[in-house]
Amino acid sequence: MAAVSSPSRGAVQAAVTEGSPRARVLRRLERRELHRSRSGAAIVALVLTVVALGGLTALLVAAALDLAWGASALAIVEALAVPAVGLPVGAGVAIVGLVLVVLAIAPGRRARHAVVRDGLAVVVDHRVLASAASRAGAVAGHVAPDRARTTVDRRAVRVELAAPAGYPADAGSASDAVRGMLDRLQPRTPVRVQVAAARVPEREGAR
Amino acid sequence: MSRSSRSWNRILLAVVGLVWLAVGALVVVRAGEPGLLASVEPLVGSATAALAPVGGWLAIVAALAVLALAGLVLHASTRGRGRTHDAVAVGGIVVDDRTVEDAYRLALGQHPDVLGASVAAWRPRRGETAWRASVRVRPGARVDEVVDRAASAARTVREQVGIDAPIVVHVTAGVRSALSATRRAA
Repeated sequence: MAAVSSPSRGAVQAAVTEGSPRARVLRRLERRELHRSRSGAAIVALVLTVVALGGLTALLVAAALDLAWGASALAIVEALAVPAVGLPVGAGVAIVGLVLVVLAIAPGRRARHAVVRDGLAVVVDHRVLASAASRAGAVAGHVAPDRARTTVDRRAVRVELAAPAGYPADAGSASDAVRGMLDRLQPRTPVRVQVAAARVPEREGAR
Repeated sequence: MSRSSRSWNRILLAVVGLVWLAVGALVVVRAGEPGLLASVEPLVGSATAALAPVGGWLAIVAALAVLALAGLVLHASTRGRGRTHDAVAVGGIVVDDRTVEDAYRLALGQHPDVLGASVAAWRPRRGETAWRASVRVRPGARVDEVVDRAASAARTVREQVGIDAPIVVHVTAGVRSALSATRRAA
């Protein structure tokens, strides 16, 4: 854990040392904040399964009770052996299964960054980071605030400054400003900063 | 945040997904390339005969449907548990999460980039009650300043309440910030 900006604040809050039970609890909370719970996906998967099995049961009940449409209900099930019906239906079912398996295996990251603050688990949305970087970059790079666009992912912050013709953006100081902001923010994982001066399309220069 | 088991969600998704995948593959093979199933046909054939014509299948499918429904109800009802309004419950003293929220807002003070804050409490499966502070900020907020402020407010509240609760601070753009005006002298 990185150095703390403020000194220890009383008996309740001794500095949290790396590897201590408290630090482990905080890291666990942080990890849960950075990943989706998949509760919704799991419930949807079960609902789909219940609906499919329920539908099949209804067809079989109709067939067993010899209802008026019972014979055609059974015919629906038997039609699955016909390629024209079985292939698309089977493929659809398999795709649903594949999606569920991918959901289970994929990391399920949320668009958030963890930042280091002693004794706390702090997470910041990528959207907040992006708009902060845009602002810092625009101010330092001498462009209007709405001329900066930022995309943030897990590893990098990319700022694009679109300066009007004749008023070149100062990409160097914009980059320093964004980097300075990130240094003060102290993200848990290293984040690269890229600042680029983009060209403004002609039609926007009408001012 | 809740005490739902994340790994159980993953296992369930994987198992249900594999079952769907297998059933889909079976239907495709049976419709497209029935020859591939020739080797298992005798087995399947005898099983099918035993379940003939409809009654046996119905029993099995209905049982599976009931089982899946029970699983769904059980799973859905156990998600999202652990939330509590008792931010502190020690030795017969209970502090409501709204009290902690008020204290947090007070400690946070006024900052032009901060729109609001809320605090929720939950009991994880392991360990003591944890607090989660959400801080909503404006677009273009000076996030480094806001984070420092939100973190020190969290420490202040912890000290005021006198309970060393684990705290999560979440700095978010929120829904309202999308509608609020940017503070910019055009």
